Amino acid sequence: MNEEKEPKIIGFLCNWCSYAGADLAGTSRIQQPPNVRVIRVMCSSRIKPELVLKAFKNGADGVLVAGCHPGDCHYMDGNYYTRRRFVILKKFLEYVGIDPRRFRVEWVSASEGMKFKEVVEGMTNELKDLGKFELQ
Amino acid sequence: MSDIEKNLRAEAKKLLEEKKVDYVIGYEESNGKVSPCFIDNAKDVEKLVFNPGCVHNLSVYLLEADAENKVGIVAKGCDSRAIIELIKQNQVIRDNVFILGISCDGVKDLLGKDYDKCKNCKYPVPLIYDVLLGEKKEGKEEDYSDVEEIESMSLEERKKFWNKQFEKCIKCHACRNICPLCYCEECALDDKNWVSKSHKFPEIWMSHLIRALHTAGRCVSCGECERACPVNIPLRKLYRKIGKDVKELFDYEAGVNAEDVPPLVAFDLDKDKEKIKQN
Repeated sequence: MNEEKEPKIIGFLCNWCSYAGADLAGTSRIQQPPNVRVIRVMCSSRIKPELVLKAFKNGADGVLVAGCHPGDCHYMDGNYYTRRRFVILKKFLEYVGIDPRRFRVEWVSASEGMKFKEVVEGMTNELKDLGKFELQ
Repeated sequence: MSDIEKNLRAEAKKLLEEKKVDYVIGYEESNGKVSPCFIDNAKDVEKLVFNPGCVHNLSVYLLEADAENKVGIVAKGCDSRAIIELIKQNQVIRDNVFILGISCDGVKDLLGKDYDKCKNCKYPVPLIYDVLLGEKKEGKEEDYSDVEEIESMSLEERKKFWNKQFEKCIKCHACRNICPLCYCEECALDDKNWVSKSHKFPEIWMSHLIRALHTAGRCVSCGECERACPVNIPLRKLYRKIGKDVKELFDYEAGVNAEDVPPLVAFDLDKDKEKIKQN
């Protein structure tokens, strides 16, 4: 794998659904691009916008936030806040000139190993087309 | 002397004499320049003025009042929205402030030009007040053309535009310090885990974006940040984008109704499902 050309994706995955989903993808031996660096968080609503900005600042080409499907949150209503928070962030990033495809919010449940693979694959391919992320 | 000014002095005098408030925050004029002033003696009320130079949003000084202080404050329409927001966020106790609301005709800078915020002012009459001075009047239509102008640029152009603006920043933090809604005792901008003290890229990009996102659903577009900025970064255009999105998506406007729940700590199951398409 050519390190220079491969996009780096920081994935914030919620402990209860998306992390388990990613785990399932692994234990089921589903082939997927190795571009996501996973950070496990207890809930997708734990992620503040600063964390996403910091990922970009420190050289991530894309950021993925994944949590339980709305209605399935382990903490009842955490991801309803996530949904509101990140729709604002996404529109705002677009406003300051960052391609919206570089930031994704996805709902992946613990049984959706296949969906996780599709998300990662889709995002990696998109980022390959977009090229390296440069702030300036 | 205008009627408003005369009534303002009379009201302030009454408040101080009856000891309803400990002090009144208002405007004074010296050497042709208007500045905020604090009056705690009924004899000094003659200092109070109100004219088109009174641009300052005085609500920021409410944050410095002690919990037991009762404060009288002069507020224009835009300032009153900040006060509502402060009450909503439990920073100010409603019973501790006496609001001298002023129906405003717009304020002007030192060259006599209208401020941007006055060109499309939706609420010239304060939305919350104990006494209203001046006539009630209609506000103008909401106008987001400044934001739309930037939205119509291409991604590359927008990036260039904002980076050029951010590059000017000397990180004096005036925008934060003058903002009435920036009341956090520990600010993320002082935390070196988020941003270092450098005023170069990418730190400067980071600090502006953090501040913008922290004002989401709170910013009342009073324009004080833009006025205080020594290098003229169009901050209001930056923050108003979020205001616009919040209005469109959650049907919420900051500082209009003290009963509303702030949009990012609330959710509406049916509407959110319909309106928010993530990708």
